Amino acid sequence: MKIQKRGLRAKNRAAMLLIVLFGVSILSFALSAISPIDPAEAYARRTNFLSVTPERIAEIRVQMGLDKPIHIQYMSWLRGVLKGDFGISLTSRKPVTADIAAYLPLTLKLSGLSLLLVAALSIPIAAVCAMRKNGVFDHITRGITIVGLSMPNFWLGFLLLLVFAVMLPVFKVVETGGGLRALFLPALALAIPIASSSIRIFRATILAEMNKDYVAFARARGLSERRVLWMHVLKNALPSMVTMLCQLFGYMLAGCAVLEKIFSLGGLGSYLVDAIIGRDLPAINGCVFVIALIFVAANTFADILNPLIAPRMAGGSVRV
Amino acid sequence: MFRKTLKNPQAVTGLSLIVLFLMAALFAPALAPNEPDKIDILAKYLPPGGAFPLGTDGLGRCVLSRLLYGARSSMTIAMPSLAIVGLCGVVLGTSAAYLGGAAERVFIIVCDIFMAFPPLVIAISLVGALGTGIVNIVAAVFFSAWVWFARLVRTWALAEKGKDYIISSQIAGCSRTGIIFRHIIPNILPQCVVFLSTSVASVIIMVSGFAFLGLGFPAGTAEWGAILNEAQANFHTHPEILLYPGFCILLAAVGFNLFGEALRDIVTPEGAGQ
Repeated sequence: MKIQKRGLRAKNRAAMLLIVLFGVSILSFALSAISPIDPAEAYARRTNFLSVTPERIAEIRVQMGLDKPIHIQYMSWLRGVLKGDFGISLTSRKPVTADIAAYLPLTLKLSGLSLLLVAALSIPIAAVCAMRKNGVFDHITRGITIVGLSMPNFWLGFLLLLVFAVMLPVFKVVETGGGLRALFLPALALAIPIASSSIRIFRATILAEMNKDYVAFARARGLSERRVLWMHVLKNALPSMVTMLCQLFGYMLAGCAVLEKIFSLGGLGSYLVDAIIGRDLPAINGCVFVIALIFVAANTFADILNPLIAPRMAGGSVRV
Repeated sequence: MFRKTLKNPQAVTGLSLIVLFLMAALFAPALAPNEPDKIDILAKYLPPGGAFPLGTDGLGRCVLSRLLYGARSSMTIAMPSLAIVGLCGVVLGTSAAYLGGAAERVFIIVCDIFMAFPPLVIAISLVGALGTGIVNIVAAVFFSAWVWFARLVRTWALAEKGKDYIISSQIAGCSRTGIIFRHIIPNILPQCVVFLSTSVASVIIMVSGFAFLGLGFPAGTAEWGAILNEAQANFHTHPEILLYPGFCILLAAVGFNLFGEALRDIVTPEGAGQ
């Protein structure tokens, strides 16, 4: 019976996911469609600003299908999306799918590296803070993290450039290529504010976990405090950390936009910002949809991974 | 609670920073030594001193005056947008939790759809789509943030709904709206205030992020992010102009974070659970 129940839960979740994805497609389309700026006019001005006549604009509008009612536009967009076709970018004149495929890897690498930095910084620091609660290290960390989480990442990017590329030339101001060297400073700028808030949240998670009965039992068995923390508490605190890190990955995809601009990296984020500034509707819709897809995928991944890390999460019932 | 706040050194530090920036925003015209938008190409990059306490930027505008006016842009956007987020979040979240059934299911689905987008993506797409203007930025911040708050409110309200006093008031014959507005909302209000006060910090950072990307504000606006954006071109020769606006954003955010966090400690003392 339990297996049936779990199957039902999985089915429900899959149905829910489909509804959410459908809603996501509507919302990604709507986000740009509500604009008071006429994309046909913007396109006409950009392509040939000398002869912007009302006739020319009307012609472009028909060409782009913008004369049709909004739900028809949405349906034809959705049909394309299901085939992996987001239309033609109005600025680069290439298929949006090709543009996204070209720019996405860099953004994924940047967010991935940044996420690694966040995990590597926040989990150990949070654990030490929780172990020596209200100690000197805990207090210092508290102070540093409050500054860290108040730090605008774009400003931090400049500070890092100023220190590590201008004053101490460890890195070049514009690193070429998509290698680790080029990505390290932007990833660090992206990671520090997020790591600061994760340290605080993970510290609270670990402390809450330490109040549970099994910890008292482990201590009563005579295990050392260090062993209790690293082997038992952390293992049980891990699922909520994984959920959070996966969610952070989505945040970072968006946060990349600003840092890609500062560090002159051509990624999806800066592509999206350029598309927004240039009123490139197909590109905006495509990017927003893809980012939302990755965000949903990361959250689903956490949902699947967690029961494997801590089996008690599954079903919520006591295992016999 | 008010007296406790004044006794907490962290809360007082945060509050003083907040008051400082609010004053700067409110009295910017009186405090600013010069016109923030007055361009004087001959007086560019003057060192600090004399009529320009922090010197001038690449167009000869007074840096200090621009920073003071920048406080205006940040505060006039963060406060109203969060007030709307707070109002909608509290009403929608508690109603969903208390009414349950189909209303709650619809609420959850809508939330899940909005939560599939990182807030920054909704915000920059909307700011880009709606164009420049304070009302548009407020709308963009609202649409990117409401769902995260409404979901939290629902969890808090659910916890409150199960308590005995709600059941007693149901037995006593209170109406649904009466229970929601007179009983549940007042009891979850402290948590809401804490959340919103730390959110001010992230909204300030987010909005200056738009301005930095060149979205939302007309070119040349005295806004911290926009000042950073203008300064980045001459980052090698005049890094100092880049430092000031960043410090302003940082200090304002630190103020709200310190205050919000101290408030959280006061509202939920340690051991009382989260």
